[in-house]
Amino acid sequence: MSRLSFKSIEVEQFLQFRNAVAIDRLDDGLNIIAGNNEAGKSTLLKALRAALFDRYKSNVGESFRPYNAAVNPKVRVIFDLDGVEYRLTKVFSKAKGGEASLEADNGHLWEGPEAEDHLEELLGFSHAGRGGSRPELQGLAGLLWVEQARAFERVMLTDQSRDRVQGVFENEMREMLGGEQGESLLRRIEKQRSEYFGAKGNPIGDYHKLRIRTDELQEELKSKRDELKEYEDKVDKLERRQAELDDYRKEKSLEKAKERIDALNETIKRLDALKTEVDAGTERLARANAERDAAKQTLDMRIKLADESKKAQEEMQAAEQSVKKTEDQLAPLSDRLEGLRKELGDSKTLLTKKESELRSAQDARSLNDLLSKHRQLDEALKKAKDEDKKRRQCSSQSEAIAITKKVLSKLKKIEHEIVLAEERLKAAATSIEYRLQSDAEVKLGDRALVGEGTSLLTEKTEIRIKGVGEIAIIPGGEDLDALRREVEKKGHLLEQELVKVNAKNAAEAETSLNRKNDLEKQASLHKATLDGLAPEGIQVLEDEVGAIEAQRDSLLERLGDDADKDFDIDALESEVATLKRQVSAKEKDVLTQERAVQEIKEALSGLRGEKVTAERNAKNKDSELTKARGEKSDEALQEALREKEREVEIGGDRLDKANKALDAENPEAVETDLERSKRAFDDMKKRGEELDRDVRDLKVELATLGQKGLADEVASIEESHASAALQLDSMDRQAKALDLLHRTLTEALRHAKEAIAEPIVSKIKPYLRQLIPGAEPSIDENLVLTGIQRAGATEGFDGLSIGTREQLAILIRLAYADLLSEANIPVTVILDDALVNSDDERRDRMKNILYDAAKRYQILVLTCHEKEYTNAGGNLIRLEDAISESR
Amino acid sequence: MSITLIHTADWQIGKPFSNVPGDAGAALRGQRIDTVKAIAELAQARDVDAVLVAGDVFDDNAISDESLRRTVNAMAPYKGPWVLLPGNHDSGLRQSVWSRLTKMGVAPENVILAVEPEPIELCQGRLVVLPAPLQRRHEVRDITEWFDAHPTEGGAFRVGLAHGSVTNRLPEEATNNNPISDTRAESAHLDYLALGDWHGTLEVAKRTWYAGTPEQDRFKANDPGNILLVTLEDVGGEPDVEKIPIGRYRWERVDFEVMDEQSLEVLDRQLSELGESERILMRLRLEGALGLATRQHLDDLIERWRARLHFLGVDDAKVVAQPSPDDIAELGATGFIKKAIDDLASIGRDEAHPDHESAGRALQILYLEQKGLQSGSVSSKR
Repeated sequence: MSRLSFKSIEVEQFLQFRNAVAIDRLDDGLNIIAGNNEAGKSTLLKALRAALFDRYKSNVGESFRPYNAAVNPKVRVIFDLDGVEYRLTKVFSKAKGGEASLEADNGHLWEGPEAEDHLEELLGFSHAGRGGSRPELQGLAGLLWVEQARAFERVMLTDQSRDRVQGVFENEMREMLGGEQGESLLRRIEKQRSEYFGAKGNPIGDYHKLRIRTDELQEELKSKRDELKEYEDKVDKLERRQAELDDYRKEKSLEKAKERIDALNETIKRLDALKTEVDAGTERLARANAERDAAKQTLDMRIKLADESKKAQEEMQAAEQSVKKTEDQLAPLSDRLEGLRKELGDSKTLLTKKESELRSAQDARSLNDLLSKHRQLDEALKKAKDEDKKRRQCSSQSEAIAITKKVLSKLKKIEHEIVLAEERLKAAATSIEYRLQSDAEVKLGDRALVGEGTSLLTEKTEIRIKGVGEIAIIPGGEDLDALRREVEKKGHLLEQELVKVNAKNAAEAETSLNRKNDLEKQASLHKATLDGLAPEGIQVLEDEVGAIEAQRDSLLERLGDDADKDFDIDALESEVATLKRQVSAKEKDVLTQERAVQEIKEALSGLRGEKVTAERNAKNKDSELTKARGEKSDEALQEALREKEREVEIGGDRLDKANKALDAENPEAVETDLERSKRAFDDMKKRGEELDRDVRDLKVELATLGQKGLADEVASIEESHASAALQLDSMDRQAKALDLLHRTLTEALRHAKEAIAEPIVSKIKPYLRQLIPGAEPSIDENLVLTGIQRAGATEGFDGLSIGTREQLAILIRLAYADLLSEANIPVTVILDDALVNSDDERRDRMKNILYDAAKRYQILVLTCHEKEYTNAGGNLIRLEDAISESR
Repeated sequence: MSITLIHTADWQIGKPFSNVPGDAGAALRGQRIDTVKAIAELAQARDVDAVLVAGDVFDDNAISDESLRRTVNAMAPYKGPWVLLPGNHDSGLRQSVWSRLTKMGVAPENVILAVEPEPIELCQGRLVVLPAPLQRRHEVRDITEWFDAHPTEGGAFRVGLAHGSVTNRLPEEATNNNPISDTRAESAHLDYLALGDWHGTLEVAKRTWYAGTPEQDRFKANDPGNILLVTLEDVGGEPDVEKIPIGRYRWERVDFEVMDEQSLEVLDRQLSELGESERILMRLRLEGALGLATRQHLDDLIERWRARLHFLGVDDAKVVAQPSPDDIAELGATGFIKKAIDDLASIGRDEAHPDHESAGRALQILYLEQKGLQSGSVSSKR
């Protein structure tokens, strides 16, 4: 088995690796290269790709140079291929410094482009014409080396990789797919089939038209054959009808039926004569019966009339007796009634007299009561009027005094203020003391001063002394004017108030007020006394006295002389009650007796009416009977009845005989026979006419139809139909054959495609079962994993979870690697953080799978999750260690 | 003095040929009137005393007036008496070709319509024709009975004319309708009994003949296509009957087993030996198993013969396609195409398979396509 194993990768001045860093000690199997983010895992992988696939002199070399580095990027890779160890060294530079060398441990050495070309041959890839290498040029590395962050993408085979993978079973595959010829053939068959069938497998185009045409012809043929059949049926019908018509004519049935009808008509005529005779006899008998009934009725009425006359006489006598008997009963009853009525009158007169006496006694007692009451009330009235008078006097006197308590206090207050104001004025005024000579004519102001005295001046005052002149004294000090005006103002105010209350001064006003209060108290005492005497007022009391006086006067007038008489009221009351009871009992007796007399009178009146009626009836009946007997005697009536009864007997016998003669001829049977014969005749006639008409119509119709040449038409359509059917048959066979061929080819192709995928399927299956138990891979003829089948359902790759996708993407790569490796094609699988989206369980299963696969070829797993791979069973290399070692 | 008659029957003018579609069928229909003309010309040439047509002159009572007229016109070359008898196809109903012919008045006087069972005297009384016209399609009684009870005076020849099945003499396939006693010729003292209904020429009883149809109309080899020239020498003597072929078309049925190229050559030779191919209608029934190349050759052969013959109907349902290793090699069929060929071949062998009948043809199409493709690709390479 061919193997490719990388032993070590060494980089220097390559992107972030300025110093030389070497990853060595790589195993043939599973290697885990762990490093933190940014440690340079992917750069390492990039360096590996660059060393293998990029020309050292290409432009891309510059892009590998670290920032501002002067030294050229350098990569050295040591790998083992089929037991030979190669050392590949590349220094990237377009200028002189660039170099490439490939040195084998068997002594071979290639340098420069030659080294690169040899490498291309060894590993099976192409260098890019321009720019950097691309996965599609990198052969199997493009397929099996998974870049970071692309791990979950669907794995597509590039041309190069497909060639390499398919190269494994190239011959079989080409053969299975039938190559270009196979596809072309299938297309041509498809095209041919599409001339017959549409997308849904329905016939189209000429094929479809021909089918329709054939069906139409079939229909047309059927319809035409039916028409021909109808024509033939009519021919047969004509044949039958004609035969029937011939028979009909030959048998002469119609004439025979006519003869029979004529014979029956004769019989009927005879029967009609007999019927007339019976009818006449019946009528006669009926008439005789009626006459006999009338005679009998006349006789019966005569007998009845005689009976009635007799009965009326008897009834008249009975009525007369009844009247007499009742008159006898009435007389004594009337006498007794008169007696009772007289007794009642006497009792009533006595009662009236006693009642009058009782009333006078009662009036006398009432009068006494009234007089006593009148005396009391009249006295009270007088007192009340007196009291009222006194009360009114007190009230009017009190009202005449205008002073009130409030006014009084106001007056006192003003007086006090005046005193105060005058004191202040006096204090401020100029005092003049004078002692005048007696003849001195001195005037102080307008006042003439005499003798000796003092005067207070409160304002400018002139002192005129006759013959002397005038001296004006002007008091000084306080504002005398204002004080004086104050005194005047208050004095004026006091005066006004005193006028209002009609007093000279406040002391007088106070005396008046005390007097007013006394008067009011007296008025109130009188009022209380008045209320006690006449609680409802004097007027009411006066009215009451008036009313009693009126009653008194009325009673006095009624009693007249009896006013002073003494009555025994109790005795009178007892007498009146007894009399009332007697009167009532007698009235009752009179009423009873009156009713008895009235009843008998009414009965008598009715009996008298009856008697009159009976007399009139008896008279009428007697005269009616006498008149009837005068017209026709009872014997004559009896004889007439006997005569009519004889006539009835004779008529009955004659009718009987006539009926017997008619019955003997059986007229009903004759009628029925005639009716039947007529019906039969009509039917036969109708039948004959029908046959005639049918034959005539059919002949006309057939003569027209016959010319059409239905048979020719049928023949012609039959041929057209047969021709179309034959053509359709041929087309049908071609169409079916094409369809079958198409189906068979399609099926075979599908089968072939499945077979092509089989090697890959067989490789991936064990992995898949381990990863997802129960799942089956779906791999197309291009060997691409398109999805998986689980529980009978197909799930497309792109529809799966991102974790499952990245796992499956690894599995299919492992399957390719297995296949290639078995075919001695050297492979290495590199996975750069390819399982970041997997859960722990799946990752564990994947580790198992990777461990197993790494027994067959080298696998490099680059990861930043070292912990997760410590148990992967691989050779663990820490990138950080490698970097630190290099320093 | 002898009498010469032409006895013919079952012209069935207007008969459709639905199993021979298209122009070939139309030609067959037209030919029947041409054959009547040929009979008339022969009768005229041989100067016969009368032409007796024993029923089914027309295929149907409902054929067109045009067909009636053309038939009568075709009879024109013979000026002697024609006796036309109604048969089961053209029974003498009140409404029939016969009533229409009478009404149309197109038949000349020498054309006698034997629509009533009454003797017809011809040749100045030397020949009495006793006709038994069918007056409905099917009779259960023997309507030739009246021949017995109708003697002829004056030593004239008695010739019966009837249409139906002679009892006890015909194969079972013949219908039992319209029975005719096989001893009628004797019992009625007939010199000759001219019959129609059986389409092959047949001496069915003593002095009793079916003329057969003059123009063959089905694939049945019972000697059709003739008329009978009957010469009566003496009353009560034996008739001299000469069979004269007159029909144009031959209806041949060929069954053949194909198996290889060589057998195709045999078939080709066999068909060539039939001669007059343009007058032959053929039903070719093939069976056998063939490789794809040979099958293609067979198809070519069939197409060649279809062009030559008046009509060729081929039943190849029993020819199974059996692709040989050579076929497959020749086709260069590999991969799924080879599988498809195998599948189709196996379907073709499996009679129970629903696509059984289409498999052979499918293979044939595949064969043609693939060959076309290959030659196409070769030419494109040039």
